[in-house]
Formats: sequence, structure tokens, C-alpha cells
Amino acid sequence: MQNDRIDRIYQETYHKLFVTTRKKYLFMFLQRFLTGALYVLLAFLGFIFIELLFDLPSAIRWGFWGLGIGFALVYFFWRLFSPLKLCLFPEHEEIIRTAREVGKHRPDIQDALIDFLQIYEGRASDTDPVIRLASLQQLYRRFRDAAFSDGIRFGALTRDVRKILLSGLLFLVLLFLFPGSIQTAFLRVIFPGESFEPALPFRLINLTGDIQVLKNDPVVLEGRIEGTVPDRLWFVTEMTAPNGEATVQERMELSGHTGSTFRYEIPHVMEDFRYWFEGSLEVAPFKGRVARSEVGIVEVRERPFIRNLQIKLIPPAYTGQSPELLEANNGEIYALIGTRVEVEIEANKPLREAYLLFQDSTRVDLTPLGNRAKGHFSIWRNDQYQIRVVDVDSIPNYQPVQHAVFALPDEPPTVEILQPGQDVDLGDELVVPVRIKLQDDFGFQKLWIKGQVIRAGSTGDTSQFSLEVPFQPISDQQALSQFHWDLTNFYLVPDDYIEYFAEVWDNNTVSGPGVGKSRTFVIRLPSLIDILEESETALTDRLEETREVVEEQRELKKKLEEIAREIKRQKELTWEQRKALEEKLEQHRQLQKKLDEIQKKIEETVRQLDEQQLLSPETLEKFFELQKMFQELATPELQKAMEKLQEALEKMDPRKIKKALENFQFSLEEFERRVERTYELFKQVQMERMMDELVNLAEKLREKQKEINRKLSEKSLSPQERQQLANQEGSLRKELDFLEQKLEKTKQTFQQEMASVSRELEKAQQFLREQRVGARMDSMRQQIQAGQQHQAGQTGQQIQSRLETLQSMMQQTREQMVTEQKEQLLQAMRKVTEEMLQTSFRQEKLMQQSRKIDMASPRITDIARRQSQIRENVRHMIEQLIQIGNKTFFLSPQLNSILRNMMLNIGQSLRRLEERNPRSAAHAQKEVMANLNQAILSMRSAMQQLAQASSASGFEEFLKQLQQMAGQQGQLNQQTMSLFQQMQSGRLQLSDEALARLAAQQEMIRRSLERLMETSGQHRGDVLGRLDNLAQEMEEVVKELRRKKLDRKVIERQERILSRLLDAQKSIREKEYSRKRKAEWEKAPLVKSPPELQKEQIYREDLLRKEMLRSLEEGYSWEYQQLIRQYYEALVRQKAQPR
Amino acid sequence: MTPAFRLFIIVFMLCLIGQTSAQMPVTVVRIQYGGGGDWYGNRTTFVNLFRFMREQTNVVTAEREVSMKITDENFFKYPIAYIAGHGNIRFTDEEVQRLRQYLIGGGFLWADDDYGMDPYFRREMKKVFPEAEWVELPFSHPIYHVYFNFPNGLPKVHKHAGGPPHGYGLFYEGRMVAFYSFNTDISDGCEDPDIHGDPPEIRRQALKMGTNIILYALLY
Repeated sequence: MQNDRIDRIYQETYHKLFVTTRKKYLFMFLQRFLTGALYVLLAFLGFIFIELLFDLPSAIRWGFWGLGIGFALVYFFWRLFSPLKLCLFPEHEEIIRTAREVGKHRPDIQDALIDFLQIYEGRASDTDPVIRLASLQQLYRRFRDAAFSDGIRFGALTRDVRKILLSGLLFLVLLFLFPGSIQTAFLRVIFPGESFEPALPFRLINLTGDIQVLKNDPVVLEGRIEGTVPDRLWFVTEMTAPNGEATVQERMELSGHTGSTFRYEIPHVMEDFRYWFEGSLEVAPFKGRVARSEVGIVEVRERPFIRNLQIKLIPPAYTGQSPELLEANNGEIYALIGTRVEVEIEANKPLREAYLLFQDSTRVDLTPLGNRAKGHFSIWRNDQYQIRVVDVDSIPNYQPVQHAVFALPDEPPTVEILQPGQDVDLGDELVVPVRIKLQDDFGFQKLWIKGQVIRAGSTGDTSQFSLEVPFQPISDQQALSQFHWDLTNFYLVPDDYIEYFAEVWDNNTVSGPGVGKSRTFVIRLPSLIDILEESETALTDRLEETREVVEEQRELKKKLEEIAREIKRQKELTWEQRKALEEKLEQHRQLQKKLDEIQKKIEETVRQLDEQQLLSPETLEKFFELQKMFQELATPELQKAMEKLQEALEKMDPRKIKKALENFQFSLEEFERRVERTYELFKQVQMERMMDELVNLAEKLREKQKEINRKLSEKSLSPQERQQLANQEGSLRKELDFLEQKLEKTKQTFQQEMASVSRELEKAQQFLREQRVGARMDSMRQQIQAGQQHQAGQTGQQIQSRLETLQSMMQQTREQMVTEQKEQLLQAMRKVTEEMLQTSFRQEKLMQQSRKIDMASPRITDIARRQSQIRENVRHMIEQLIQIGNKTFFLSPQLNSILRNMMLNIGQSLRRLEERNPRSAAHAQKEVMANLNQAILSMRSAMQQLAQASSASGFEEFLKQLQQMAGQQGQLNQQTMSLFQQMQSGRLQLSDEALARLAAQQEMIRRSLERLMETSGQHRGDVLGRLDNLAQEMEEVVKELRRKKLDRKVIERQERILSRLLDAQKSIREKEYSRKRKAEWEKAPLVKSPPELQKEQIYREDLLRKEMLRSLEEGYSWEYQQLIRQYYEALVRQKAQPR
Repeated sequence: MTPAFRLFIIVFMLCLIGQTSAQMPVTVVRIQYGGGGDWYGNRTTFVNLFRFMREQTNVVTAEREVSMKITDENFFKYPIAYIAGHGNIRFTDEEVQRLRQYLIGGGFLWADDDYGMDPYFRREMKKVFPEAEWVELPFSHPIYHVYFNFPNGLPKVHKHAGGPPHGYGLFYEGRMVAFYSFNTDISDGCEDPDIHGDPPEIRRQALKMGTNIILYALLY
């Protein structure tokens, strides 16, 4: 039992010693560790200091680390390993040592503890166990309550810790004082392998830091500099690339910063980004190094925006236009006033509010629904608007787009009177064809003809009228109104006129109908006096203009002769001469142009006169001839000569110029002659026209008086009707005065030319005076006004009777004029013919004498003298013929060439006589004689034609002969064809006699044609052109027939002859048609469309046709084929009959 | 066929004609007929009409028409024939046969009455197509609308016999092979302005109608 206790005590004591041992060695380890750590720290600080001072290279720093580690290892094994080991695993000896040390330190214990252990462990084995036990108990009592580790004081370590802390504090203080340097030095020591640069002497602070902004808003990012102000500063942004992977950096240098703060402003922030500032110094050793601030984040919040805009335009209903959807996102509106605009938008985010804001701050709310909103407005004027939206976070859209609204007005309609389209005079029909063209953008409502009737010819008052007229749309924007405006109801009398215009309303129901008006035109019922005065003036002016042209032409010819003389004297052409020639050419062209214009004006005047039937057919025909003469003034030869001269002038070839000039002068002489002749004939036609006018004026007066008389006799007239009739009688009185004036003027005109006509006119004047026709008219007008209808009727009958007499007198005078003209002409022609005959006799004698003498004969001189006399005679005759030609269209064109040849031959004769060669002269004289004889024949023929002609010009005769000839040819063709067919069918053997008869007939027609060509004047050139070579064709037929040859070719040739003869007639008639048609183009009646085509109309003949064709293919003879055709035709016609 | 589609077709065809006619300008053959009538009249009609067509359409036209007899071997080379005049017309048997062959084979005849040829022309055409009758075309017929719009049918150019103008068609197996403009004188209307003194608007109407006729002949 005692032993157990002792064992337990031992165990306890041993454990206590074990713990104490471990504490002891722990203390020792800690003490030595702290000491080592202090050494290391001090060495580290020392090295940092050295580094700070010397910026040691990497090797030394590595050396320091080598030494440090070496020292640490040595120190560890030398000083730390053993206590650590013993602390962790204390050995028994160490426990025993601890026991001894405890005894040493505790005097109360001394060796008790060690003794106890030794006794117990048997080191005194020979001791009695009891004693041993007692000893042990006793010993135990000595150290039982003692604490073994009292000698170990951990507090002693505090001093070492304090030293370490003090060293660390020192380091921190230094670091605080010199953060850059110390930190760098520290890092350089810590990382000996790295290369360290010196720290920058400044820091950048990001003052703004993280921030949120609205998209598109501006943002200001600020920073501050601590330390030295860097030379350069940057603002750096970094944002994620659209692909979401890479980042995009952007550096922007900040300039102009002063002081320690700086800022960077972004006007429109569009998306999130990170940012910081960077700075650098440009001095060594910091050059190229960058200091960077902290990173900040800018977070962008999206504004609402309009992703899609759709506008629909609904035009006003009256336009009939369909709604229009504008292109997506097109906010600009061009639309008609009154158009409803429907707006629909889609935003990028849900909306709380949306509206349209107009220029004048008017607001049109749109109804929001999620991301969408819609609304509408109408267009009334030009405007501008913005679409504003606000999202559910009350964020508005950024800078809304300004859209324009262009209000298009409904243009007023336009109306144009196409027909008549000018001021017109009414004809007898009192109907005016009217064609009005309407144009508008959206259709029409109504069309009127409005205006006023000015009764200048009757009551003198004015009355307004308005006439609604129908129209037909011809397209969406156009309409046409065509009708015949019957003016009968206006009861116009001559000199009354209507001023009218068309007025159209469009169908604009939004801002009221637009109104369009046409130009105002006048329709006048001209009085006879007006027409005659106008035509008189016009024709007199034309005559005067023609006279001027004649004079200018003479002047031009003289100038050209002068130039030609100058040129002949020189070898080269001067610039001035060339210019002068060009100028003369141009002058001549102008003259031709002037003549063309005169001709056109004459044509117009004649057309007007003809419309009013104021010209006799003869005078009208003469006017046509006159116009033709005007048209043919410039001959092709003249034109060619002009061209040649122009070419020569351009080439500057003096030789060619001289030649071309000669030709031009020659052609010009012909031109001059023609112009003069035209002028003379014009004068004559003018005189005839004056006579015509008198006749027609008298006739019209009579007719009008008759009409008034008829009205008076019909019924009892109302006062208004009486007034109208009185006015008409008044007008008639004026016309009578006009007739008297005309009589006087015509009488004077004829006084010199035809005294007898003048005398007749004098008689007519006397008749009017004696019969007091004017006074009777005045009296009748008063009677009508006074309501004395019966008396007025009687007076009217008296006036009518006298006017009939006057008309008869005028007609007789006119006939007398024509007869006298013919007589005068015939007389003149006879005289010239007689002179020609005498000259011919003289020339014959001269020829005989010339033949008889030889070259040495002294009579040659005498013969030459007489030949010269003959030349003078011929010249005189030519002059006379020119005079005659100026008064008639009858002289043959061949006469000109005969006379020209005659002069040439006389010249030849004279030259031969001068050369003393009488035989040759006799030969030329014979030619002269032949020429004279030809001329006489031509003159006789012309006289014969003139004597037979009903008028002096012979136009009708020409046409009649042509017709007669065509008829003869037609008959001949039939005979030839008949003979040919009989011959073909073998029914007849051709006899020589029959063929000879045919040949003779053809020959007769040929001669007639030649005669016609000879006797027709050159003014028939157009027709004769068509008959060109026809005589030759006839001659060929004659030859063939005489050769007893009758075949298909002969038949064809004869058909061709007939065809051309008919052509010639048609040509004339065609011209007549054209002349007559000119005033009649305007008739354009409105008609209904024929019925739509039915299928059977287009196809119905098919069956019949097929049947017929099948029949024809079955090889029937020609006659049967004809019968079959006729049969089927009849069937077709029968089927075509309406049921 | 909607108007838009029709317009498209016409424009397309005109372009086609324009392209095709790049090598061969469109022209018309004037028939030289016998009988004494003036087949040669209206000398400036086609000069003006073709000029007008060149200006107004895509069609390339010749400077003027050509003239020949129906029996000419080249007659069939021309797709459109033209006949006009004031008087008698006479076709020989051969001409009758060839004209029939020409029209059945795709040719087109435009006859324009110059005033006076009506009885003769009808007589001779009866020889060519004894089985067919002239049918007056309604105003809705394409010839009045093919390019220019004539809502009231043929325009009136000259008075002639008075009254409204008439447009007749001669049909063979449903195709209009001949068009006969009567009592208006489209050809005269197309002539130089100083020849007949027609007002510009009338002339323009005639030129437009002439264009329609030619285009109809080419397109239908």
C-alpha cells in the first residue's frame, strides 16, 4: 500500500519535473528566438538603410539574403534546435538536471528532490525498504508543496519583445516619413531579383470615383494631384467591346490643367465604362513612367428613345385618294390640307407618357401602351413637331427630332379654252364649237361659261350671263368639255359682241372650292363693213408691201451690177466686196421671206372674204393663181444660183465667184420680172376684188333688207322686236353709206384704167342719190320705231326694189369690166401679133438680100442697119408682151424662150454681118424668122384661148380640158381592153383597122395634151409636173398599136396614162379642198361610243369564210370563183343585218 | 387586266420595241395603188408623225415612210401598211391576193380617208376580205388608249362630210388586221402646220392618234 502511494508520488513528481523541463526549454527557445529575430530585424533595417543610401545592386541584395539565411540556419542549429528538441522531447537526464536546478534555486528543497528520485529509482538499493519508504516520504514532504517552475519567468522575454517592437516601430516611422523611398527600399530588399526604379514624386487621386449618369447626358470626372505636378496627364477609359470579351481602352490627354485638381468632361455618355487618370514626368529618372489613379466606374442609364415611327396619311374624302403609309421612321409629312395624320411610335422601353409638341407649343397626346403609343392630328398649315416620350422612371427622350409638316394646298383648278382659243368673228351659223380643257389635282365640281353680251351694234347695253356646261373627265386630273355653243338666243346683231370666259370650281370641301378662270375671249358678230374694211386694208397693205419688194429688188439688182462691174476689173475679190455680196444675198433671202409672208397674209384675207362669200369665183380663182405666182417666184434655178454663189464666196475662189455672180444676176432678172408681173397682176386682181365687193355688198344689202321686210310682214312686233329691227335697219343704213364710199373709191380707181367702168359706177351713184335710198332707210327706221309696221313694210319693199336694181347695175358693171379687160388684152395681143408679122416679112426680105450678096458687097452695112432696126422692134414687142403678161395668166411660157432665142439669133446675125459673112448671117436670119413665126403661132393660140375663156385667166378651161382628156382616155382604155379580152378568148381576130383606129385616138389625145401644155401658162407647173413624160407614154402606146401590137404592156401603159390624168385633176381638186377646209377644222361634235365589240362580230365570218375558201380551192374557173365570192358576200351581209 | 398591269405591259413592250428597233427603225409602207387616186398625198405626214413618236415614245422610227406597190417583193418586209387618198382605188387580182396574204400573215393596214376615197376603198377591201365587214370600234378599244388616251374615240381633224369621225376595224380570226379612220383625216392633221393651217392642238391630237395607231399595230 505504501509502495503504491510512493509510486504515485513519484509519478506526480516526475510529471511535474517533466513539465518544468519543457517550460524551461521553451523559455530558452523563445529567449534565443527573440534575440535572433532582433538581430535579423536590425540587420534587415540596417540593410534597408544601406539600400536606401546606396541603391544596391541585385547581387549584393542576394548576398544579404544569403548571409541572412546562413546566419539564421547557424543560429537555429546552434541556439534554437537544442532547446526546441528538449522542449518537445525532454530526456530523463534533463529531468534529473531540472530536479537539481530546482533544488539549487529553492533552499528549502535543496537535494531533496534529487534524492527522492535517486532513492526511488534505486540508486540506494541496499537501503531498507521501510527506510526507503520513510525517506521518500520525508523527502516528499520537503518538496510536496513547492512549485518547480517558479524559477522560470516568461516575463523576462518582454524586454526582447519590446526591443523587436521598437525596431519595427522605427521602421514604420521611417516608412511613414519616407513612404516612397522606404517602401521602394523595402521592396528592393524583399525582392532582390527584381529591378526597381525610383518611385514617382506624385500621386493621382480619383475624386469622382464611381458614378451613374443618363445616356447622352454630360459627365465631369475629376481628380487631384498629390506631390509634384506631372508634366502630362491622361484620362483613360476602358469599356467592353461589343462582343463582350475584349476591352477597348482610350487615352485622352488632359491639357491646360493648373493647380492640383483636374477634370475631364464627356458631353454625351453613351455606355458604361471604367476610367482612371494617368500622369507622367518628363524628367529623369521618372521619364517614361506613369502614375495611375484609382479606377472609377461610370454606369450609364438608358434614356427612352423612339425605335420605330409609323405615319399614316388619310387624305380628305373629297380627293378620293387612298390612305398613304409613309416609309417607316419618316416623320416628314407632305400632305394636303385637311389630311388626318395617324402617328404610331414604338420606344425602346415602356412609356409613361408620349406626346407631339408643335412649334406653337400645341401638344397632341399620344396614348401610351407598354413600349408603344399612338395618336393623330390633322394638317392645316405648315408646322414642325417633335415626338416626346417619358419612360416609367420619368426619364425623357434625348433631343427629340424636329419633323416638318408641309401643308399642301389644293391648287385651284385651271381652265383653258382650247377652241376657239382666240377672239373670233361669228359666221352665218351663229354656232361656235367650244372645247374647254380643265385641270385640277382632285377633280371638278362645276363648269360655267360666264361673260357679258355687249350690244354695241344694237341697244348699246350690256348684260351678264352665266351658263353651266357639262364636262367629261378624261383622267384623274383632267376633264374636257366639248359642245357647240349656239348663240342664237343672244339675238346678236352685227357689231354686238360677247366677252366670255370659262370658270371652273374644284371639289375641295375642306377649305371651300378652288376657282379657276380662263382667259377672256371675244366672239363678235362682225358687220359686213368691218370685214370689208379689214380685208381692204389688209390687201392694200399687201399690195404696198409687194410694191416695196419690187423697188427693193430693183435696187438690189443695181447694187449687184455695180459690184459685178467692180469685180470684173479686179483679179482678186476684196473683203469688202465679199461682205457686200453676202449682204446682198441675205437681202435677197429677206425679200423672198417677205414675199412668202405677203402670200400667207393674202391667203388669210382671201379665206376670210371667201367665208363671207364676198368674192366671185373668178376673183377667188385669180387670187389662188396669184398666190401660186407668189409661191413660184423663187425658181429652182435662182435657189441653185444663190447656193452656188454662197459656196463660191465661202471658198473665196474669185473665178467661181464671178461665174456664180453672173448666174445669180441672170436668175435675179427672171425673179425681178416675175415679181413685177406678180405685182401688176395683184393690182389687177385688187381692182377686180373691189368690183366683186361692190356686187356682193349690194347683194347682201338686198338680202338683209328682204329679211327685215319679211320680219315686218310676219306678225305684229313687240316693242323690243321693233327696236331690234330698227337697229338692224340702222346698220343697213351704215352699210349703204359704206357702199357709197366704196363706189366712189372704186370709181376713182377705175377712172384711169377703165373709164367706161368708172362711168357705170358713176351712174350707180347717181341712181342711189336720185332714189334717195339712204333717206328711205332712215325713214323706215323711224317708222319701225314709231310702231308703223305697215308703212315701214311698204317703205322696205321700195328700198328692196331699188337695192335689186343697184345689185343688177353692179353685176353688169362687173361683166363690162371683164369684157373690157379681155378686149383690151386681145387688142394688145393683136397689135403685137401684127408687129410680129410685119417684122417677119422684113426679116424674110433681109434674109433673101443677105443670101444674094457676097462679103465684099457694100450693102452689108445697110443690111446690118436694118437688122438693128428689127432688133429694136423685137425689143419693143418683148416689152409689150411683158405688159400683156402682167395682165393675164394666158401667155405661154414657151413664148419667153422663143423670144429669148429670137434675140440671140438677131445678135448672131448682126455679128456675122459685122464679120462680113452674109451667108452665115442669112442662116441666123432664117432662125429669127422661124422664131418670129413660132411666136406668132403662140400668140394666136393665146388669143384664141382668151377669146373662148369665160374669165381672163383660163383656169376652168384648163380643168375642163383635162377632164375631157381623161374621159377620152378612159373610153379608149375600155375599147382597148375589150379588144384585148376578145382577142384573148379567141373570139376576135384583131384587124389592122381596129388597131389603127385605137392608135389614132391615142395620138389625138396626145396632141391635145401637148396643146394643153403649150397653151397653159407656167403657173400650171405643179399639174404639168404630174403630166411630165405622159405625152411620151402616149407616144409609146401609139407606136405599139401602129406596130399592131396589143398586149398586157399596152393595157398597163394606158391605165397608167389614165391614172396620171386623174392624178392631175385630183391634184387641183385636192388643193381646192384644202383651201376650203381650212375654216372648217373645228367641228368636233360629241358622240356616244359605238357598242362594245361582240365576239360574234369579230369571229362570225369565220365559218362562212372557211366554207368559201374551201370552195375556191376546188379549182373553179375565175368567173365561178367570182360568183362564189358574191354568194358568200351576200350571205355575210345577210347575217350582218340587225335582227 | 388592271390599268397598272396594262401600263406595265405597254411600257415593257415599248422598251422591247425600242431595243429591237435599235437595228431596224419602225416604218410604214405606203401603198401605191392604181385607179387614179392620189396615193402620194400627205407627203409630210409620216415625217412629222415619226418625229413625234421618237420624241414621245421609246420607239425608234425611220425618217419617213417608204412607198411601193403591194406586188413589190419587199412589201412584206414592213409590218404596217398605209393607204390614203381622195379618189379612186383599184387593186389588181394579184394585189388583192397579196394584200390578203399580208394581212392574214400578221401585217396591219391603216387606211385614212382623205375625203373621197371611202366608196372605192371599201369596194376594194371587200375584194380582199369578202367575208369580213368593217366594225365600228367602241371608244374603249385599245387603239384609243394604247399610249395616249382618247376617251371619245378618234379626234376630229377636218370637217369633210361633217359629223363625228369614225374608226372602223376589220377583223380576221379575232385580230384586227386593218384600221380605217374615216371622216377626220388624221394624216392631214399630221402634216406640216402651214399646209392645212390646223391649230396646234388639233395637230397634236392627230399626231397622238397616229402614234396610237402605229403602236397598236406593233403591240397587238
